[in-house]
Amino acid sequence: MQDTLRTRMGWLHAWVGFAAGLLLFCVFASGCLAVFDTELTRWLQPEAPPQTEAFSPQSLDHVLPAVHDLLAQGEKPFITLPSARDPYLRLEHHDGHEFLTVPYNPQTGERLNVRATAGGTFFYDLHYTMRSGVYGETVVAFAGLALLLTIGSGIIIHLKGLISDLMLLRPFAARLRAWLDVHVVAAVVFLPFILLMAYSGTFIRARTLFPPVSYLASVENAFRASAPSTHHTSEKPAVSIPSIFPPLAPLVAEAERTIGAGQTGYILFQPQNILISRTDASGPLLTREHVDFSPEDGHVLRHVLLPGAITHTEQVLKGLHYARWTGVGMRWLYFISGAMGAVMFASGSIIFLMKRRRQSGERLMFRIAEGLAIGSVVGMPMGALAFFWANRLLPVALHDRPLAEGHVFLAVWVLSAVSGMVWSLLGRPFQGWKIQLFCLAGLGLFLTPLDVVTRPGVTFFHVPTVFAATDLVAFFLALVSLQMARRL
Amino acid sequence: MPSETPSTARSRRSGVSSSPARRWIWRAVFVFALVWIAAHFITLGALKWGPAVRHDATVLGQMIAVAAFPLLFLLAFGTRSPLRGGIIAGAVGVVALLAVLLHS
Repeated sequence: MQDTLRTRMGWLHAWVGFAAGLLLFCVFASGCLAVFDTELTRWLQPEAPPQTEAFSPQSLDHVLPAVHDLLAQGEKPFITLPSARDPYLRLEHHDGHEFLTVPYNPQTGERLNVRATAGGTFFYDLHYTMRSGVYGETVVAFAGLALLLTIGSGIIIHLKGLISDLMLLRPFAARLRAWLDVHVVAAVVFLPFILLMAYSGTFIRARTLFPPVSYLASVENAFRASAPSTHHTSEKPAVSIPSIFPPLAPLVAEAERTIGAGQTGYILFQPQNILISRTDASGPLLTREHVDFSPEDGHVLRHVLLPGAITHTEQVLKGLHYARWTGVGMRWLYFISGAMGAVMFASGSIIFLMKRRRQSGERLMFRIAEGLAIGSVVGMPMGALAFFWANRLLPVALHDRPLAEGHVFLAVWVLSAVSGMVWSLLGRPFQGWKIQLFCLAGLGLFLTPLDVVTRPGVTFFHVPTVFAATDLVAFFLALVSLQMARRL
Repeated sequence: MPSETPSTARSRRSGVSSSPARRWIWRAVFVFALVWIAAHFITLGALKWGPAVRHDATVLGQMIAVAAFPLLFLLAFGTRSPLRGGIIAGAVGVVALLAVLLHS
């Protein structure tokens, strides 16, 4: 192999791309599902009526007893106000993984009787932590840096053919050629989106990679903290939770006078204050501007809006990444672009393996790599579909149901990875790919019948299209996996 | 005709024949370490030379570090001579360190 810029970049692109790509495939796949987290929550709680009444601010007070209970448990509950995207009043809190949500009637404040679920935010948590807390967050941020490197080296490799590759797709060409075309078309056409997501996503989690403190100081602090302390610091007295909260309707009206009419989105409850903040849907700047009120008598404590050009740049990057301000059309564009990002990683990993199969196919490391690829490219979508199946099949009265849904997802993913690894180590990787792709196709194809059978009050022309859209996407995924099994 | 790079010429003269891929691994590790240090000092330095508000300074430093990391890595790894790549990444790291130490 000659030592030229192109070969060096090709080597970097292949190895960094494959190593990080298996994780980044899951990040992109879960990210494009997280774009529709609110809509998916509606699919996962089919008991919620499709039509709701208009929002009445007085209904907020009916949610307060449940807020009080959550505060007493040490949670940080918040109410999400109804919006065009989601017509319900929702009481939410973070359980350490995802935001658990209970819908309320926006007119009466009456709690809706729906099943407990991890909801669409399950995929949001999966997207940036892989359900592994701060360690997962660091690994995903690190993969983001690797993605930036892979994109840079990929651009250098394809610089000459960047424009001509835009329209070059030959699905019926030789297998390697066809996969290369899929990889290049997905990467080149959606390059601006992938670049934006890679940069903004890595920047949002940059505190885990590049903290604003010296690493040496961090290590010293870690040792200092682990050493037994001779000083007994007096603990701060715990702030007591007020027994009665003030009526919320006047507080929302007061906040709207500052933030703007119809611009309030969340009401966060803490023992020491009540924060009413701007909705994320108000624009591309994710300002989280908020007005704070006293929980005792409801007087205004302060108004917080961070100024400055750099803060605004940060807010724009977050706004563009989270896409909570966008309409349905833009949301679908994000979904398709994210899905194409996932296709780029999947096809890249398959090309990596195809190119090395003849020379290294018998080596142990190659077989492990192929097993991991099966577990990632097929296992993760299978786990996601199993999550939807579990939501409809697990008993509604099951204790800790949201956790059980997550366990089903992980169990299917792990099973897929182990099975892929076993087939690969046995020297029959195609068997592993095909069996799992057919399983994936089965889960996708039969999701629509499952939805129809298990959804209460099903009609053919159901008003919220979230059900039809979710079922159709699963159906399309099934068709893609069948085609993939054919062309491996 | 492809020209011979200094590193391959050196390995041929010394009789050591290592594959380019193996040399590239060590080169990538070396460049990674240098670039990571440079990015770290950029983040630390932003608190000194950046905006007066700590949050803004941190954000600015991280924005630059995340953008600089891949650019600097590709630049340092892309040069024909590993030494030249190391000097480029090292120089940026030294400048970023000086900005941390010397800026009042």
